[in-house]
Amino acid sequence: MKKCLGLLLLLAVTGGAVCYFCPEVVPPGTPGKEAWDKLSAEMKKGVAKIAAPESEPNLPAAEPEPQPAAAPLASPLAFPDNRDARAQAKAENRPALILWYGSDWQKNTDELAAEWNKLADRNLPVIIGQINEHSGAVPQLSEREKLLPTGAFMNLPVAVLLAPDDTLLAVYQGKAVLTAAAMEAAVQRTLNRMPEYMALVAKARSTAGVEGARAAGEALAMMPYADAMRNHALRKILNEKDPEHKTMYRYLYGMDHMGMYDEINAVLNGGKGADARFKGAQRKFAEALAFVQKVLAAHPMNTDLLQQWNSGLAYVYREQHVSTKDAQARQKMLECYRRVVEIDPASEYGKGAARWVRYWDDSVYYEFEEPYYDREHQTKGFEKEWRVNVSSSMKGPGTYVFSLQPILNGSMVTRAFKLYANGKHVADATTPENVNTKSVEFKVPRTLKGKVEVRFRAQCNDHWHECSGKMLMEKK
Amino acid sequence: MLGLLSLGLVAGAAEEKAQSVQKKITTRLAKKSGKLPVAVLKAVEMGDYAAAQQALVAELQQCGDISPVNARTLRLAMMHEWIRVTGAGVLTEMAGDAKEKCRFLAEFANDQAWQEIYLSCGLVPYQKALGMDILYRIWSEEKGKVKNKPLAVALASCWGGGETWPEPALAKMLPTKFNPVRRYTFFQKQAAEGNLHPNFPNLKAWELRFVVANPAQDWDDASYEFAARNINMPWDKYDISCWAATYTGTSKFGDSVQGGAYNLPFGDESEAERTLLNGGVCGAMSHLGAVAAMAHGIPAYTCGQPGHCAYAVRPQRGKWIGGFGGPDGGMHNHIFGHDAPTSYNLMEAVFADDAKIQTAYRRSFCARALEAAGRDADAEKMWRVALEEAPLHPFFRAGLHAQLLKRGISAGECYAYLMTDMLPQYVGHGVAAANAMADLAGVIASMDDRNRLDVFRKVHEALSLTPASWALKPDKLVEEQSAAMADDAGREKLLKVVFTELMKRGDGTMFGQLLEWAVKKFTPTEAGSKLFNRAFAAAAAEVASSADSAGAAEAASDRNKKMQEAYSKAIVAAEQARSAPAFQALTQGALALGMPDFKAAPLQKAGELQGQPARAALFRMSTSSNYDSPVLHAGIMTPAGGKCHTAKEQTPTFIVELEKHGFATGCIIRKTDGNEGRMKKAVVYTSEDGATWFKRAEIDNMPKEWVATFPEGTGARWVKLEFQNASPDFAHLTHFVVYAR
Repeated sequence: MKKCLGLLLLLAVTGGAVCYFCPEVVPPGTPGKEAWDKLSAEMKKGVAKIAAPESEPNLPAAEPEPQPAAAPLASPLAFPDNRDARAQAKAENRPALILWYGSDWQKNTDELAAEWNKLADRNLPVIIGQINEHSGAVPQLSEREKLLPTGAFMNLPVAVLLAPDDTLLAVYQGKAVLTAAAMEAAVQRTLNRMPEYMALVAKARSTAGVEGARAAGEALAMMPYADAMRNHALRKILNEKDPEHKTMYRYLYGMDHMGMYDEINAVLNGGKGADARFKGAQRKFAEALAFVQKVLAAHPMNTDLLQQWNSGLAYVYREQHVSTKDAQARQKMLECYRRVVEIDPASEYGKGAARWVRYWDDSVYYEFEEPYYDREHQTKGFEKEWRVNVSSSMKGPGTYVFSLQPILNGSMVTRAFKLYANGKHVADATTPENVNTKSVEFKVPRTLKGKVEVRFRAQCNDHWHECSGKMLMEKK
Repeated sequence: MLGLLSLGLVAGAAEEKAQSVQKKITTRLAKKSGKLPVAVLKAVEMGDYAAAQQALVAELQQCGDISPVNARTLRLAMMHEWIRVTGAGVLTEMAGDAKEKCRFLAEFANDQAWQEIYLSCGLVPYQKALGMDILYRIWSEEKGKVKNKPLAVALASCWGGGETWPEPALAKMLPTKFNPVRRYTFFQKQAAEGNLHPNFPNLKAWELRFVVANPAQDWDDASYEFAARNINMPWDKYDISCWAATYTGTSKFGDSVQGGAYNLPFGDESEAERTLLNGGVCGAMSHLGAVAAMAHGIPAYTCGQPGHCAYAVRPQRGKWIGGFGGPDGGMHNHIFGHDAPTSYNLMEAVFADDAKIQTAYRRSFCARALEAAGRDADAEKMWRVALEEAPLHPFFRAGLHAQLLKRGISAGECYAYLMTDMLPQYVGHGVAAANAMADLAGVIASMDDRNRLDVFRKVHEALSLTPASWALKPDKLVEEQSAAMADDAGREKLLKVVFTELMKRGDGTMFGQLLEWAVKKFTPTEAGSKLFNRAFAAAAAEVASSADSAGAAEAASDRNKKMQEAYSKAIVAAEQARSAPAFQALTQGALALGMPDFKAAPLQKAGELQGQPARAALFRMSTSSNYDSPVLHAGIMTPAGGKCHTAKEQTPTFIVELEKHGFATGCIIRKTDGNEGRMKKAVVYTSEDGATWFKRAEIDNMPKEWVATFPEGTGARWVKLEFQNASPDFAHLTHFVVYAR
């Protein structure tokens, strides 16, 4: 009975901020089916009778199989459930640490539970609670989203630290949650910064207007960016108290990168959506650059935001270069991308910007050790040098055929094929340089040793960059 | 010299050892394949499969009794079927390619259990080496001891194609990204580490097809690894695992998702990684949801819908659950045709009973063997008994039909066969029935009109009870029937049959789809329009009279009301089928008959929104009720107004589909007069793909007329209104008018 009550309480948890950027899930089932059934019923009762089906549809029968959904509700953890823990935390004015996992499907739950149960003896000044999301525990996505004010998580286990008023303090995943010691250390680090953070939160809640928004922004700036974006309550305060973007925090935490590009494009295009007034080279590049630079100058930013807004800057330069062929804009764009890489090369922004540098920098060529090319090797609208290692195909002097065998073709242009050995030009293809071809011949007069490459110019003009295929070097 | 001598001795010893090994293999094969004739065995060892097949046929011709209960003839029949389907020339070429391949094929030929799994997996790679090559690569990787044969077969089948789906998907994919051995190894490792759904070990090869996925459509090997590590949820939650990624239309670098530049900066990452870390829209998210399920051993497929991509997962046998607007649509992985739900319903029905389908397959091998032995009459009988165990199997049915045609079945016999033997088996699988009947189209064409119409009526009986969806378009099927009728009079009769059968029973979805076809086909011309209306009126009258004869309500005598009911039902069917042409045509037809008489109160706040009332194509609602007026639904989307009324619901929902995508400025919603206290908390969403909804406005206590203003630049093709009631209640509107610029 107690277990059932726990489940009911778990299901009854409500709350969570509305996110206008988040799409809703389509409800299962087809709208209108019930309408049909109702009308059918009406016709049966009233004007016309619907003939009964002669037999039931021969639908596939569900066979009895192992049913994960029927797993026991027993929890391996000795902590109260999420809702009770948060209520207790509020009553005692202490943070709540909620452990979210699944007892019936998650691997090594016993070991994890044994670690987590140790937290009870660690004298952490928090109330510990749990969400045991076993199969069937929370049937709907929308209910899942409401379990915590952060929204739901899709890679369990996870632990979430909440202030007594439910404001997000931190999210812990990966190694941080696997042992009691790691968890304790992580929580303690957060708690050390809690007084300053909570003072800002209190100010954000109690102060009207822009000052309240500024406090919310300063509090959000204390968190890792991903956690800040999950902090729906503070973001809501920020957006409501600074409707005119006076603090600049609106640009940092009131919107994600899509919001940033909406704002940039609104300046570039002279309006949003149907109100856009400018296209192509007519767009307001200088104004857009000034807008992005103003945001970048306004506040010290964490690395995520610095990368995001520098990518925004690169975007404006890129649009300018593509529309106007302005060479200086191209250089500026490359500078921005290099800056993004320098900030954090291992981040998604860093890795992506490095690719854009490779893409746009004329001095960078693509090297192929494997005889395959794919979408990521494409440039659209301009050529790039490709260097294909064909050393293993060289079998003494003779005539060699180098060919590209497209799998997905797109609109590939390849020309100016040359043969190099150890970086030295040894032969040109028999086909003239300016001819777009997928197969060329090389006359090789002697045995080539060391690294032998076929070099050529290539571009893929397909909108989806859908050029992929194999490259072969064969002796004739 | 000594060195050379030593070398010679070593070479001699090696040869001796090789001969010894070969002898051992031969002995082992001979033991294992006691039921295979020596001539066959020798040919297999030599890698000469034409000779093996010849020897098999010669042996089969000597057998009096070829049946699955005779172990020896079953063995011969199975071997014959393997060579037939793969191709003797293909096998011979493969065997000649390398000694190891020849050895593998010999091992496979003598492994009856493995061979049976392969031949019973649904789709067997046809006349090509790809399937066997995949098995060979896995066999080599596992050093001749394949531990999970159903999994290996699933890869060979799904990545190798089949007779009815010959596309060899693997050949189109880069081997650096799609490698069957790597995928096989991934699952074996996942299984060993206990990361897979508990039902994974019970999955048969045909089910495992939906775990290994179709490489031409689904994601690369690295995506499996990534999804397994980064999406971990309760087993029953993978229908929402797509939401592990954020719905994102613009990349971190400002590029639209509707172009190749979106993913370009993340080209070094797997598709799953780049989607989880950078977001995407329906296509990427549905693939992510599906690959997350599959990486945990749960069958799944992705599917295409008009302007959308969705997916489905199968947490238990027979139970497909939609993700991101699925499971309906064009399945990217399938066995019997790509239309969901008819395809997977047929598949689940065919394979539902493990014992029966095994028996049926064994009989089918024997039927093929009998054909090869020149015993067509016995083969026909064997196909019939195979169909007793699996009456819906399309390939077995095709086998029987080939025999019937070969012996020149008469129109009369064909009529009896269809009406008595075949079609009664297909209740709930009408599409499969129609497809199977296509083999006999010539004989059906030679029937007299009455018999032919009887047959078509029977098909539509089956169709009416076939679970369908708005995504399923049965146009080709009914087009063929229409073409088979001699003239317009015949087509009018057919149309009446279609309407009557589908109005009588079923959930209305198929009715809606056939209405759409009929509207498009007939109403563009005046003569066609008249034909359509006569057929519809006659069908409505027949349905109504069947109610009269059953002693239904007193209102049965009111013809106008009957017609209104029929049109109402047809309009709701059109809405359910999401058929804008049928919805519009039926509404106009009903209004032309002067029904019903209604005038809505004018809008009071029409001037508050920018733009103009957008031209709307289709109206849908979550439920209907006795108070509803489907004939007036179209008016709701215009300033003139209309009328609709749901049943009592927690969240009554209404959707307006605009004629084309545009920038919507907002919408005006007005309640009907009376009971305005209902419908308090209201939320309005917009969508550009009909499946992904963004909240645009909400109100806690909606007034009688509410103007919902959308954010600047809101692109939309669909607008949804949802009432969030504290307890189930009715919802009723006169207006839901969307404004756009």
